[in-house]
Amino acid sequence: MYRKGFEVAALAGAVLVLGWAGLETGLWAERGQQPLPAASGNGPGFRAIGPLAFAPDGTLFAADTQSAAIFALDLGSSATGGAPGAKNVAAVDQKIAAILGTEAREILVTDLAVHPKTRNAYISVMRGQGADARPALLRIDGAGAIDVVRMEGMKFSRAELPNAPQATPGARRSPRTDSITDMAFVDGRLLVAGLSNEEFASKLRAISYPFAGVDNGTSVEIYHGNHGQFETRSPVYTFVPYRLDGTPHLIAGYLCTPLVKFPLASLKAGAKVTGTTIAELGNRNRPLDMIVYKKDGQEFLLMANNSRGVMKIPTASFTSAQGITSRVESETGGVGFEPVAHMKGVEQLDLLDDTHTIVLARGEGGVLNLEAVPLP
Amino acid sequence: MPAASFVLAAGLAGACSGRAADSPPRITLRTDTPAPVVDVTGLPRADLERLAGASLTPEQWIRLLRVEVSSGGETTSAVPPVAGSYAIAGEAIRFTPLFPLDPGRQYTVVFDPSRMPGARDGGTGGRIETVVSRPAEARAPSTHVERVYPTLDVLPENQLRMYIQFSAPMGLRGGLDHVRLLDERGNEVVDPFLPLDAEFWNADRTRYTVFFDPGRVKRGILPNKEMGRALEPGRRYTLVVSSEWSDAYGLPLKSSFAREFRVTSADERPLDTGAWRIEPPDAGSSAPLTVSFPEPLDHGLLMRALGVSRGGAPLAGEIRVEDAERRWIFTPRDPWGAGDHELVVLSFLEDLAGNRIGRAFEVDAFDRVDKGAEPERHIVPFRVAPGPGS
Repeated sequence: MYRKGFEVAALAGAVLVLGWAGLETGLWAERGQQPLPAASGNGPGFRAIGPLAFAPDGTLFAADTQSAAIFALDLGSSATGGAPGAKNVAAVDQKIAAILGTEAREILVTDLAVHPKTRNAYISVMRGQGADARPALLRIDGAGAIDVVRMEGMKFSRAELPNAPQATPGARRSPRTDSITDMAFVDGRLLVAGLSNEEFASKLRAISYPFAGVDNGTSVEIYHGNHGQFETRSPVYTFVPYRLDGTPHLIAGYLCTPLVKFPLASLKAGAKVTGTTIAELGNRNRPLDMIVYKKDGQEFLLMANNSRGVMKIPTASFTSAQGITSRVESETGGVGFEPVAHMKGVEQLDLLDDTHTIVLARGEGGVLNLEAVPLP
Repeated sequence: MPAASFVLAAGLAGACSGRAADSPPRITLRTDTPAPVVDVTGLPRADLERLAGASLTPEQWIRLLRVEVSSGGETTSAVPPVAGSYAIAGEAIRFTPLFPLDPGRQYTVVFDPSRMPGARDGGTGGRIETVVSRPAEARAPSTHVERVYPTLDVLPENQLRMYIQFSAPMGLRGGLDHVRLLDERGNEVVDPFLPLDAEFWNADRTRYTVFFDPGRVKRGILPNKEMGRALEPGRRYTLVVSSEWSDAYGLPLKSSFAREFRVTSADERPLDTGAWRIEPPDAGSSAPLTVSFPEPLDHGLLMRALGVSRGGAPLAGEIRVEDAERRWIFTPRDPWGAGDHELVVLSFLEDLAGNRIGRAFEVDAFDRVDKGAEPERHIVPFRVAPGPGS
C-alpha cells in the first residue's frame, strides 16, 4: 500500500534528471519533501559520497549517505582515456589529499570499486571535516595516474530511499536517517543494505534500474547460531550476489559474523525473509567487504573483516550447507574458512581481474595503500 | 598571515620576450573572487594572447603554473599538484582550484615562464616560486555536548542505546573513539558499545547514536556468556565524551562531558499501552494532549512513533517529550473536535531496553515470524469530551 511519486525534469544541457521524489509507506508515512537537484546542469548534487557499485555497462551507483539517496552516474568520458587496469599506489590517501588541496587527515575514504570494462579503480572520498565537507570521486588507472572525476555536467539519475515512517504528519523533521552500508547490482536491480540510527534493524531494498521506484524494503530475518535466536535486528553489513546451483542468491555478512544465504527471488517488497545462516565466523567482528572469485577451477568468497582479518571461504558447500539452527557454542561454525594472514589492514576490497584483488590497506604509520594482490 | 610573499628568481627578462624589466610577473592569491583563485599578473598582453590561442593540455598548464600543498621543505615531484582549472582572466593567468583552498594551509605556487608558448627554452632560470595562504580562521572551540538521552540517571542493565546531542554539527571523523564508559573506580569498561564504522548521525550531524553491543546485552549468547553485560545492576557508571572529538570546523569540543548514572535490574517486559495515562483536553480547545508512561521510552522513537487520529485520519500537530522521556505531549494544529479519537503507536516504539509493544527484546523469536516489513499500528482509543461551552 504505497503511493509513488515520480518526477522527470529536463535540464539545460540535456541533462535528464529522474527524481524519485518520495514513496509513501502507508498512511502514516510522510511524503518525501526533498527537492530534486537544482536545475543548474551542474551534475549530481551529492551531500556525501559513500558506497559504490558498478553495473556491468559501467554505470556507477554512488550512495549519498547524508540524504539517503543513490545516484546512477554516467561516467562518460571520465571512464575513458586512462591506462587499463589499476596500479599499486603507496600512500594513496596522501596523494589524493594533495590533489584535493589538503592533507590526509582531512579526507575520509569511503569506498573502492573497479570499473567492469576498464578495470580502473574508483575511490570515493569526503574532503573536509563537517559542514564544509565535500564529496570527491577519483580514478586510478593502470599507470597509477590519479584523476578527479569531474561531476559538472555529468549525466545522472537519482533514487531516494523512502522516508522513515512517522506517525504524526507535519511534525518536526525526524532526526532518523538511514545509513547505506553496501550496494550491488544484480539482474537489472540495485540492491541496497541500509541501517537506521534509531531502529536496530536490517533492511535490504531493491531498486530497478533505470530508476522507476524504490521498493518498500525487505526485512531480512536470520537464525543467528551464536545468538541462539532469530536476529531480525542485526544489520546486514556487506553482501555479494552469487549463483548457487544456477539460482541467484545473496551471500550476506552480518555483524558478529554470520554468513547468510538468501534466494534472490525471495526478496520482495514488504516481505519478511528468513535467510539461512551457513557459517559463523566469530564474535566481536564486523565484515567490511567481500568478493567472489575463481581459482584453479574452484570458487571462493574473500571477505575482509575488522578484527579477524581476511578470510577465504570455499563456496562449493554453500548449496548443500545446512542452516545453523542451534546455538554454536564454539567461536565459529558451519562452512569452513581459511584466514589469509598476508593480507593485513584491509579496509576496502574489490575484484581487479581474474588473478588479482585490489585492496585499500592500512600500512605502517597509518598510511593507506592501494595494492593489487594475487588472489589467494 | 599575509596573502603572499614573493620570491623572484634572476634571469626573468630572458624567458618571456617583450616584458618590461621593471614589472616582473606576480603571483597572488585572490580571495575577492567567489572562490579563492591564484593569479599570475604582470605578463605582456602579447604573451597572454599567444597563450589564449595555444590550447595547452592539462599537463602543459601544470608545467606552466603548478600549485601544490606545501610539504614544509623543498617541493618534490612526489606531491601531486592541486586539481583545478586554468584560464586567462583579463590580464592574468588564473588557476581555480577544484576545492576551495583551506584557510591557514600553505600552498606552493610555481610559475615557469619558459613554458609559455613561444618562449625560448631558457631552462628553469625564470621560475618564480612563492608560498600563498588564506588567513587561518581564528575560532575558539565552542561546540559542546548539550545532553544525553536517556535523561534519567537510572538505567536498566540491558540499556540498548544512547543519543548524544551536540550544540553544533560535528566532523566526519569517528565518534566511538571518543566515548568511554567508566566504572565506579574510574576504570574503563571494555568494549561496551557496538563497533560500527557506519556511524549513526542525524542529517545535520548534531545527534550521535551509541548502541550498546546487543551481543552482550542478550542473555545466553556467546559474547554475553564470555563477557557478561557491560552494565551491572547496583553499580554506578560514568559516560565520558572526550573533548578531543572534532566538530565540523575540525576543532575540539569546548570541554569534555561526563554523565553519571546508576544501573538497575534488567527490564525485560514488553510495553503495555494499558499502563499509559492519556489526558485529553476538552473539545474546542487547542490545548495539548498528554500521554504519560510508567517508564521512560526511547527519545528518538517517541518523536516519530506516536500520533493521533480521528476516524483513521491523522491529525497534524507538534510533538514534545518531557519528564525524562516519560511524557509525550501533542499540540494539535486545529482545535479538538468532540468524540472518539485514537492514539496511534507504530510498532517500532521501544523503551530504553529495546522492548516493544507485545514483544520484549529478550524473547526467543525462533518460533515466530513478524507479519511484514510495514510497521504495525497499535490503536489506543480515547474520547475528547465536549467543552464547557458546548
